[in-house]
Amino acid sequence: MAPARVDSVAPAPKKWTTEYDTQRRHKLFRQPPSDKTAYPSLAEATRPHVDSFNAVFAPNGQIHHALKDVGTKTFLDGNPQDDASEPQQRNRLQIRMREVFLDKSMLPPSNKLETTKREILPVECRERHVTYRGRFRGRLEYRVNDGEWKETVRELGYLPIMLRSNRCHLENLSPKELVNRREETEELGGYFIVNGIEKLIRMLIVNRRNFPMAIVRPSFENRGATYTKFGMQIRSVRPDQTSQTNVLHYLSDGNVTFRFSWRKNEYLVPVLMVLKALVETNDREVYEGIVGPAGSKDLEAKQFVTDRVELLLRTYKAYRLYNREQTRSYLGEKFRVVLGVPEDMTDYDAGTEFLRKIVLPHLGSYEVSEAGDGDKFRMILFMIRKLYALVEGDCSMDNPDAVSSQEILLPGFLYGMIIKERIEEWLASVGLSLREWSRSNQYPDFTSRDFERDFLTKVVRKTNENLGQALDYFLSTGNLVSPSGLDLQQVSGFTVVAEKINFYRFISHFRMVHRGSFFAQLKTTTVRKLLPESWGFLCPVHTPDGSPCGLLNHLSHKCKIVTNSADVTTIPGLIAQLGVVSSSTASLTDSVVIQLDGRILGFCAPKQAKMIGDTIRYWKVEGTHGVPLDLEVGYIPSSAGGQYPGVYMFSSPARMLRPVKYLPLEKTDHIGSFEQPFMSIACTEPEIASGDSTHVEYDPTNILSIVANQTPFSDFNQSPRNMYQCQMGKQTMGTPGTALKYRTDNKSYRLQTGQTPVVRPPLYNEYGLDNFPNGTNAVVAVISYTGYDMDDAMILNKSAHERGFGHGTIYKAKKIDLSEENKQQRGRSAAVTNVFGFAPDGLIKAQWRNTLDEDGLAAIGMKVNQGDIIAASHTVTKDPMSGEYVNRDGITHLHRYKDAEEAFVEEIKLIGNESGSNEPCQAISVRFRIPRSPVIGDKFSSRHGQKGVCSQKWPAVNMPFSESGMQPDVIINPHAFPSRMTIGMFVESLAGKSGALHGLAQDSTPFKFKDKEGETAVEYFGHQLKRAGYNYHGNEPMYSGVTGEELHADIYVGVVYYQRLRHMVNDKFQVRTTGPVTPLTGQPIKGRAKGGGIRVGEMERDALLAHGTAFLLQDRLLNCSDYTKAWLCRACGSFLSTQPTVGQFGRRRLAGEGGRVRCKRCSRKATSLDAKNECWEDRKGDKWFGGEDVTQVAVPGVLRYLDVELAAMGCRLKFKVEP
Amino acid sequence: MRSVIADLYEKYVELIGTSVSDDGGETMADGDAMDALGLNRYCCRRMILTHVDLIEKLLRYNPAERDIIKVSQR
Repeated sequence: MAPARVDSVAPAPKKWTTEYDTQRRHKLFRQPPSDKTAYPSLAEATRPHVDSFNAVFAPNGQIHHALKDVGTKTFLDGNPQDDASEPQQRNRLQIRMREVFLDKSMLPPSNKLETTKREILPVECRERHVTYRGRFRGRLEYRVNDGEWKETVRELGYLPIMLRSNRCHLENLSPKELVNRREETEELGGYFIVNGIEKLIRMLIVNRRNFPMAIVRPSFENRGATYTKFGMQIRSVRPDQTSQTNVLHYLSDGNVTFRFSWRKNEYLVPVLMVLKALVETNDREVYEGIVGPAGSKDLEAKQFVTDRVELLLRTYKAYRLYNREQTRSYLGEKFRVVLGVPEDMTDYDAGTEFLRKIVLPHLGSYEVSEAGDGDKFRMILFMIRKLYALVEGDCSMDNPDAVSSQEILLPGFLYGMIIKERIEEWLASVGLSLREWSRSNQYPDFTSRDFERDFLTKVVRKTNENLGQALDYFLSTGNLVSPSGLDLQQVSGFTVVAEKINFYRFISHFRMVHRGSFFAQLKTTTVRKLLPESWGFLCPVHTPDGSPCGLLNHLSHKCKIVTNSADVTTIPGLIAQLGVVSSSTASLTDSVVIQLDGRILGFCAPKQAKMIGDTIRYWKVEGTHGVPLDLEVGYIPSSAGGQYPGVYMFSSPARMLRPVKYLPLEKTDHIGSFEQPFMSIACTEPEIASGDSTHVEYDPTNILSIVANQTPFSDFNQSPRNMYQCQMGKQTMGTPGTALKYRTDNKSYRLQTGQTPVVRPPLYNEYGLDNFPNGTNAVVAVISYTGYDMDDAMILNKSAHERGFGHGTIYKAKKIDLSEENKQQRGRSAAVTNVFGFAPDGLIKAQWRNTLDEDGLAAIGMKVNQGDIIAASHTVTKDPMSGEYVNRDGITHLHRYKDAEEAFVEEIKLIGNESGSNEPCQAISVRFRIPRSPVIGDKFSSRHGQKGVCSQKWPAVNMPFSESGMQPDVIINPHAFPSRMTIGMFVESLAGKSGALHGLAQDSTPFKFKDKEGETAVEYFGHQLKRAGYNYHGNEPMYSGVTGEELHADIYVGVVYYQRLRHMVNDKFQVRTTGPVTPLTGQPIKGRAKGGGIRVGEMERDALLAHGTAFLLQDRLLNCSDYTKAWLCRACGSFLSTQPTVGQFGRRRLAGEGGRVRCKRCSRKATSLDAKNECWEDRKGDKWFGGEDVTQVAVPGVLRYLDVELAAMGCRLKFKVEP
Repeated sequence: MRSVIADLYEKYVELIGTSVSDDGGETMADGDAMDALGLNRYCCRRMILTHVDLIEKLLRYNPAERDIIKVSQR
């Protein structure tokens, strides 16, 4: 039930309700708070982006781990071709990156003009169309042999900075301070500014880390003979968030191979080789690790596994590798080239390096201890065990498409991963540069003075130190250039533009999660399906229809993403106390695994496992025993052939979490997507099943995204309509923001008279959407009135339109950059060759001054049409004597407004540079304003997926009116409802009407009303209406505006919130009679922008034929298309043999202008006997006789083209011309 | 019958700010304020009730700030 009205009391209520709170809103508008935002939920929405970026450069953060993982690079001196030089005698140079620094965005030191305010604020970058970036430096250390480490700080270019992150000037600012820095009061950050465009890295779905997933994939069989579809895949993530996927393949003979991919190449290794390389072990240990200790019960039942393990061990004997040292050396020998280890490293160490980098790096990727190798060993044993269980049918496969086996690749982490890779590549490139230097200097020793002198100045200098460039490229194009591929399935489409069409669109960008462009090409639709596991994590409603459907999802509004690892140091101790053993018995019914972040803590009985799961959960919600709330405790119960049982705990970042109430403690628990399917969470309080439910949802609407939550009474609508509304809400012409003056979007839309909806959920205020009104409350009558409302058309009251209903504006920004034009002409010369303004001594036409001011720039407020001049410039050269720029040619160059639509010059910004050099203005940014009052053909929609096109602006005198003289603003046809079943719109109409009458804001949260007599929405609002003196059903008697007579039926009238969509006829209309054509066929070209035609296709043709209007068809298909007059020879019936004759004096006369056309095929070489006036001459000057029987016919141009094409294939077309 | 209502908005905002209870805590309800202004039909009422006075927000950004900076630097 909608709550009863809480009278506007309580000075500044803490929690937002559905109320208007006009006073409070005004206060926030006038005085933005100087402490903290009034809308914490909104700030929460972009958290995953901002926090993940913060984690990159945080102390002990991602980069810290990354640098340790990269480690030192070693290079040797001497001639590599020279065999005599033994590695031992060669000098070694070691380099490493100690730490890196990213500064805030500041003016470069070269700028001496500004002394106090040296920071570059984001708003400046938007206005100047540049990148918001900070200086990136690194401390490089190097040493020769075992000498002292020497250090140097290198400039590594500039890195783009995420707004409101810990490297941004806007971090932790209050709304008031934000306004002072010319930002929105609710600036959320989370995006980058690249060349003035707001870009963000999209969240991407990847496999859950550190969890071995059972995969059944038929394509595995293609890997080779005996390979089967069974595999065990683990995405192992290092502390620096980079990942390495390891896969175990089951071969049909029972063998298992270990597959990994390194630098985009795949390698296969026998799994036993990896096992034996990790720890000093023996066959018995491996056997018991997989099968279970000898003598454990049910061992006989495990015949399947024992057979296969025996084979596994037996086949490995062929390698004759018996201990750890041999095995590691063998691996090292094989992989040292692939891994690129230093030449002087032993095979054994190279093998260690292999295990460190590739085998389950989440259990140790640098400074790997013996215990770490033991963990890796046990994990692989477990994976083999699970693989055999999968093959045997003891467990099912894990679904990689369900959120339970997925996590999110966070923007900041991807950014950090790229930085890591660039650093590693750069360090390696020093080696190349070093070799080059050595070669050209006769291989000097690293201990020599030459080296000491040249290393930094020549060797390191020669490398490309601009690492920031790579990030710049990544953000502006979304393409990933990476030698390793970063263990991702795609190389492009990582970034999107954060379009600010309206606020819904903008905020959705930060909540959207993409499955990956790899899946977009899949023909199967399984990946797109909505799975029950997604409950509460991904919104079931908010996904686009069409090609990205189901791949581009949005997070539910309460779903959080963890960005920090939780502290789980106490967990192993607690688990040990709760009772686990280190080895497993043979049968799954006897012992199951306990894992923490992909590390095996032990095994215990299934009953014990449940107890452990429950206990840990209790402690975690309680906050005791050092168990963090963000820990995910996935207890998978034993089942017959279900998911592989055990307790899997996760504390890592990038997981999706959501809050629900934990019943035993009545406290908030954060549950993850892995554990959710095995928990009993009641949806509402009454649904709590005693003895079963452990949790209850706070609100059923928690499953919906921010945008989906704004659809009023969405539970009354047919479900696809709610999806459509999510799309249309994002295409609405609304309020993108209030700091519009400082924005330079290519195109931005703005609604002049936005209102707050009468019918809205409390979340509307919680997300502060009143800051960005998105539509108007319209009085809507559902009536078939004029016939102009057929087929989803709607009639607009002309008076409503004249009072500003749906009035909007488009702002366009155009940048005129003189230095860019300069670049195109001659290379990259930095010198100034153009400046704005009229040429000083040149002619200035009066006509130019129609739009331009004295300064050569358009006057502010000037109306400009297509082709009007908006700026003037002239060329200059620098006078070396005086240092001034002088114009020598006196020619003024003009810059014109190119768009077809009439616009007003709103503002011109002169763009300076940050270097502080005193060169003249080289670029301007002009903002145009295009007023767009609604016209016939513009698109409107209610919030229920009911879109329609304005078909008439009906004069108010002819509109129907009610008894009190009210007229609707909008008329829609009742036929829009039966098939679409958007009952929510009816309810909104009722609620809106009574809300306006009582002065209430109506709560439209779905699932609030019951489907029970006396508690339905219709009854609730009906009674409200009745109390205000209106009809209970929302009908009103109405009178015809034309005759004044009362209409026979009462009309359903109410207040509905209407959105004006950004699709407007003025951007769409396409009209042409004749115009540009394709040269080849003579048919019209395609495209509205080029003035092309619209195709009359087969079906249109059919319609015209069926309609009996063949003549119209001729007009469309011939006259307005490729109508041509062509010469044809009647005698031989060919187009191709006709040719114009050449006049007597060699001057070719046109065929049409009295010149003659003859058929060459039907003529013969002229002889002296032929009459001279009957002969003709071709272009070569040869004389011909005959071929006179030619005529001109009107044919489609393509017909001649067809003739030519066929002739090329040796086919002749013959035409008969009659009469 | 048609009349201009835009001028009533300021009065409306004032009204909903005035207290009606003795202790001064309770302010006038939105509906009562509109009744007091003589707005009876729901088409008038929704205009006043749901108006968002964005101009207040826009005024936080001073369109003439650059001129001010220029003058102060002079």
